[in-house]
Amino acid sequence: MSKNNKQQIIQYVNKKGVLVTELCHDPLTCKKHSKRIRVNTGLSLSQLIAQNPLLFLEEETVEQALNVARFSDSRKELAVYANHNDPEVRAAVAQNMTTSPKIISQLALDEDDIVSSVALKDYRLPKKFFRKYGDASIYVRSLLAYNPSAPAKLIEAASRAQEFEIRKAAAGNYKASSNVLETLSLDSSEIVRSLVASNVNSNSATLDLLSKDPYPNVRKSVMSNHMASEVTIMSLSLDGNASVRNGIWSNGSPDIDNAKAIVSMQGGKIAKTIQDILDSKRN
Amino acid sequence: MEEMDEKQELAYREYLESLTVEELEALNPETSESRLRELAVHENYKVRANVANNASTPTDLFNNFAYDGHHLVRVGLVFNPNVSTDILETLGKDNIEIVRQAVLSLDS
Repeated sequence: MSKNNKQQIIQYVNKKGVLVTELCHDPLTCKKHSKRIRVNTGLSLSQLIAQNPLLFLEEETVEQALNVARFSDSRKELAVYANHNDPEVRAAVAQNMTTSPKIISQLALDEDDIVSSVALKDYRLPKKFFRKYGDASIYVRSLLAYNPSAPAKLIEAASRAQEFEIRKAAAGNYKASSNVLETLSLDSSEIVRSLVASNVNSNSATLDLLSKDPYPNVRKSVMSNHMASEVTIMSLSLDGNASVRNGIWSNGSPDIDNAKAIVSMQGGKIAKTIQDILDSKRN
Repeated sequence: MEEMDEKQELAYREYLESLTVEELEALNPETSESRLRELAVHENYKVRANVANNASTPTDLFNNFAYDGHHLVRVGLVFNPNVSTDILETLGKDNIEIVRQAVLSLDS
């Protein structure tokens, strides 16, 4: 390399995977490093990546790659980064809303659990994937049962699975039907029942049943569920457990003011807070 | 309020902020006795309920609250720390279930 005439020897891997060594004549593109990739003057970074992905992957820092994987709006570019060596980058591709269903399917089978768990829970996962991998490992089946795009039959089968993890995933699926959730409300695990109690697809009869559950966490989840009936909420406002009663402050329903008043009546009054609010209302 | 996380505390504060000045005065343990007496006959049942529940409310008003026409006022009285066992016995036989449940909840 001669600095005087600003020529530089560069190396890169081309599309066929062959290492190419070239003499770069253009000072603008040679820049600082001997292996710098910007040979094609005038091309944007994403255009360069599209032309020669391997080249870019070799040269780029993980931080730069993460930035592209998170914010790129090019499916072609994201398809390249889906093969990045770093699992964090691949997981970011799976989370990017532009990534295609085909790439989501690819990432769902990724060797890294973090990457695959993100993709397996993604609503863009194609229907055929559920058919093909519905009988896979407990890990895959549980994540598929949690997926909002999972077919109703798969969620129903998951609700009857022997494995706790799979039933738990079905109970937490916000697309699970009220019938499936009714079945799961009788589950032997309080964790499963608690998820049913939190699920907005649970009907009022199911939630009323769970409001009498011996486990406080289950009752608290009912109290926080805006689909619970006013009667159920009113009954829980008198629960002996303060944590259950306070679940009402996470409930977004507009029709539970009397129940809120009852919960408020049982807590210690925060005189200073009340005085502050009074002062601000009077001013 | 006990056992609240940060979000719940915020929602509780929002609830307090949604109350009227009279409702807040009725709730405030630092409100004067004379003002609580005025609020005890307020037309809004939520104001009366808060007065019935307020630990600073004079006990001679309790009998009126025990027979108030709105059940929330009677529930408020159940949770007043100064309420007598006689009044609780009366409220334990109330014709509205939520009032009876409130009395029963004191034992749990």
